Amino acid sequence: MHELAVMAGIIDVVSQYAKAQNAKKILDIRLTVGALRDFQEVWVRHYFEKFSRGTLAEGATITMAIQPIRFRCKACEHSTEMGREAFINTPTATCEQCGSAELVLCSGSQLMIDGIEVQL
Amino acid sequence: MDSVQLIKIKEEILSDNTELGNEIRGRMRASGTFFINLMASPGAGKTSLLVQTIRRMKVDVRMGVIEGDIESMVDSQKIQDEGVRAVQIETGGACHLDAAMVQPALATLNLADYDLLVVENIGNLVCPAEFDIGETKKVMLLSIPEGHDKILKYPLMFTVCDVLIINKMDYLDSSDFDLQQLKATMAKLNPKARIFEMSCKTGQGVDAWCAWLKEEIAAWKQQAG
Repeated sequence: MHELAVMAGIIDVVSQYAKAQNAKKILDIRLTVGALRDFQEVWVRHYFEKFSRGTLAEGATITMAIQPIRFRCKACEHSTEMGREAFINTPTATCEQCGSAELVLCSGSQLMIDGIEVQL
Repeated sequence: MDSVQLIKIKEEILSDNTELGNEIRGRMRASGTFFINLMASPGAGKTSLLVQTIRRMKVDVRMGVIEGDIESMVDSQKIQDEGVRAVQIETGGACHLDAAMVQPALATLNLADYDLLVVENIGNLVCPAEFDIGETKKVMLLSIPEGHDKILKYPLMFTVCDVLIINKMDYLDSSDFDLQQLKATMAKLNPKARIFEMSCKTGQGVDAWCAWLKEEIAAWKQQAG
């Protein structure tokens, strides 16, 4: 449900950027979403369609790049990557290189508007 | 002729909310008010934790509670029965609080009159994790009957919290809750978080939490100068 509050904000931001460039319309919105974030693509699109009506973003596509969950090994510095499913199913995940369980989260919670493709 | 152009934005999606959160944090720092965002599932024991905390701290600490939970008129009453002011936020069925929703409730309080303000967020482990409300610390409450796998299903909440309170420890022996596994996952996701094992029913761990809280409030006030 929080996708609703977030979508309105995204449309505001991208519309401002598009207006500043005198764009006729927004063709694509590119987002990066960390796999730890609870952002369901289906709801993002659903709310986007509702909120974008009558704005420069109406009809645009959304490209959501999912940033994987990445852990750094304290012992050997190797970085182990996993998707959300793998994270849920392996509570005892260890470093894929040295087997250490001393892992520290280093990415997977980003929530960013990367850019937009516009028609001038 | 029409042309297509790529515009780089690189802006955090919730930056508006974070800015407002920072503004609130600044006001709390100026008034020396320690501001807690308390988050949990429904039934984890948020109100019980508040009641226990109030009973131990109200003599030394000037406390206030902001009730954001949807069905919390009853909870407000329990807080007021303890002699602490509780302000209700009308959430209209929202799934989380954000900085803009908290602001009107704060406007009804003279911040300088409070050493500690606690927002009881809406009972939900998903949405509240996403939104800064200007808190000094995010405190998450998990209860034993919910299971140790909540950290795998709702990882963001466990990643963003500053404190994890594991409540209803009195149920541990009769459950299959794997405390070691929870702590091992926590060490990976959020090694800096402070963990308190607690039972609001038996009182286990409540003193340790209150002692920590008093230290934090003192440090926050010192920072306020």
